[in-house]
Amino acid sequence: MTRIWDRSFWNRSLASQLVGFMLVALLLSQGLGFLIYSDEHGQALRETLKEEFLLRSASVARLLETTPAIYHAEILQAADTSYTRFWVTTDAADDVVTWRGSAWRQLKTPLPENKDGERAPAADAQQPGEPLRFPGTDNMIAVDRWEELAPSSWPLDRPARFVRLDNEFGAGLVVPLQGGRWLNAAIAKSKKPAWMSQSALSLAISAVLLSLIAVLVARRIARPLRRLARAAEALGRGEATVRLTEDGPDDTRRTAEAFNRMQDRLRRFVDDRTAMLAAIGHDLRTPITTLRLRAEFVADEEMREKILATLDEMQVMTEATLAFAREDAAGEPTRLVDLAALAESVCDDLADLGSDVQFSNGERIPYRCRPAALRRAIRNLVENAVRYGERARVTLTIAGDSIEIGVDDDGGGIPEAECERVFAPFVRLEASRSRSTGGVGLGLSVARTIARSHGGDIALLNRPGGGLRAVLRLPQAAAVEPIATHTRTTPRGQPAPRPVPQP
Amino acid sequence: METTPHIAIVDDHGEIRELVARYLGEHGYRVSSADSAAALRRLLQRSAPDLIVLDIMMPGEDGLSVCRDLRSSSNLPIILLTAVAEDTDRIVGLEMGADDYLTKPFNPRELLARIKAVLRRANSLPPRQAGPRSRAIRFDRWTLEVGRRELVSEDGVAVPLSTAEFRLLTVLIDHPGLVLTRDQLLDLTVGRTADVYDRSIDNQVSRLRRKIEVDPRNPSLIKTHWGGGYSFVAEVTPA
Repeated sequence: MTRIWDRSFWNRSLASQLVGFMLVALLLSQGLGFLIYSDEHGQALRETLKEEFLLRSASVARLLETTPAIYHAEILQAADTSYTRFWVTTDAADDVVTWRGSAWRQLKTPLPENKDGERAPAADAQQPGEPLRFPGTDNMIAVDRWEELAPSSWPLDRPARFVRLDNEFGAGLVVPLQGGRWLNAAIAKSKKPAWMSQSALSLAISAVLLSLIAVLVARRIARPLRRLARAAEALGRGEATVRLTEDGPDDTRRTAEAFNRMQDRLRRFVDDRTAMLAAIGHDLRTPITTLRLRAEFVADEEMREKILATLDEMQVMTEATLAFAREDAAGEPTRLVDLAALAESVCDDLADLGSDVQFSNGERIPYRCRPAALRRAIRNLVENAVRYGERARVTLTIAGDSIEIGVDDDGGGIPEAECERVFAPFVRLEASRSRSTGGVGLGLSVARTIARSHGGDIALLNRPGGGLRAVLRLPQAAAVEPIATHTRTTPRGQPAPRPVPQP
Repeated sequence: METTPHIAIVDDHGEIRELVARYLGEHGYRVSSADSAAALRRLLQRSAPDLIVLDIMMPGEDGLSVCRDLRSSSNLPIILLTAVAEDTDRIVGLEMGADDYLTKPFNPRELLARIKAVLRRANSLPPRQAGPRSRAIRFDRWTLEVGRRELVSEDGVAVPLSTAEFRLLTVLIDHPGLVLTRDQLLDLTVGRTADVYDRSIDNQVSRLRRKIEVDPRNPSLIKTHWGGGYSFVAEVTPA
């Protein structure tokens, strides 16, 4: 099995594996059964045939002896069946090989058409007129001599000579008749067709049924597994996870229960830590306020400004910690909001506070989201751009099936290797730390948590022309046409016609 | 200002109360302090402050309830101090009729700037015509969600406003039909916070128009008056 096969198909679905295993098992059992029973079966059949053949030959011999010679030809012809032949010779065939040749020739000779329209089946193996050859010449005929039949298996009182024609059911018999003539009898029966077609059909039916069952079973097993995978994935992303339904077979139910319990414990753990973080952040506000006030009374102006700068930094850190804690405990409901106006308002606010932020206006995009959270995510990206990259250029575009909010700055970018690491909480790059630009390294982490909880993500990439580009990508599935509550509703991006002024 | 303004500071935290009082005192204000809602009421019986700086989180009766109570009987300017910069606090604070709010930890200089702005407004500008603001205000085809700073269109899509846009719009809504000069608008909006850069009122008006007007170049809600000023002509109803 090649690696590609191994990975792409075999390992991919439980159903295919089950089907594979069951088919292999089926073939093995059938094969073994055939090996074990076919010989027994064949043996029994051979014995029966031989017995019948002998009885029939005896009857024909007796018949020939009791009837006038003129009827003999007809009797012989009537005794012939599609797989047996009877003929009379004047001399006893002593040489087995020669006799066998003539026996096959007899068997090959087609019966007259009026005999039920049947033809000798042995003719299947060898075309008439072809040089005579024995089927399976290479492995047949263990004994090339006549066998005297035991009186127990031979009904007549005179001895008969018996020989096998092949390894299947082929046999020959020579019986002396009164008057010095000999009755020759030969039988050859092909056993192949009946066995093959029936077994193959039943094998095929079994295989199809087993495959169907395997697929059904696999799907029954796979469905709860898929649900579990989805839930675990969502839990890993920090989304508010749906609880798994605890039903189905015992194993499935126990797995679901265990997962739900784990989820509860995790949530409790995170909640406790978040509450602690929030409490610390919250409690720090009062001392910081007090210190701020005290600093105002410091006479030394330089000292005062330095204290205030330090306090500013502390405040930023507590705010960030609180924002982080809040986002973790997010309970904001999802609402329909114009994404363009939301991004623009964030940019305008920061621009009003003196940052170099520009928003290139896009069309109206009604979008289902948690606006306060999304606003925080965008603000974090824009603030980062301004802090580390002088300015922020914000764009809002629809790209394929997602909506992209791009934030470009004019800074030095960050090493490619760091582009993922900076999303981890409390990670700050060395360069930013030494520049003492503030922040605790939670901004991107919070922003990504928010983006992912909306089913999107954030990526950082260095722009070819220099500067960093942060892309917040949101799935467009949540973008909706505004709910029509009014006949005046117009297509997206178009203002509704003016209402008639009220008096 | 001829007389020294009298500020009342209400906070249960002794050190902060004391320091704010001292700080404001050094900047030429007369300050009384109270450590609870009850103490404030006693203070109000004795004297008449020009402005109250009120902490929301206090044991006993909290700041919001005091604010609502005061608003029902007077126009006394109130600046709220909130502990959390949460939307809910802001919503409720503005609903209760506070003139402004600051989140802790606040910058004392900013407190000073806001006190000045609120006092100036209280003394020299047309008073707000409406009583305490309601949670949502309806005009034209919009509903203004005050707490969220959002306009909601008829088709249910929320359009977030920037802080400056929101302030301008609330000022306009508070004075419907009245022509406000650029200076007055500046005082009423930018004046609220010292740290907001002075984007021209014209610029803000045009931004706001772009969001609320059907045809921003031919405005029907915010009218321009030659010789200086703007007026809000839409009918305003509490939602």
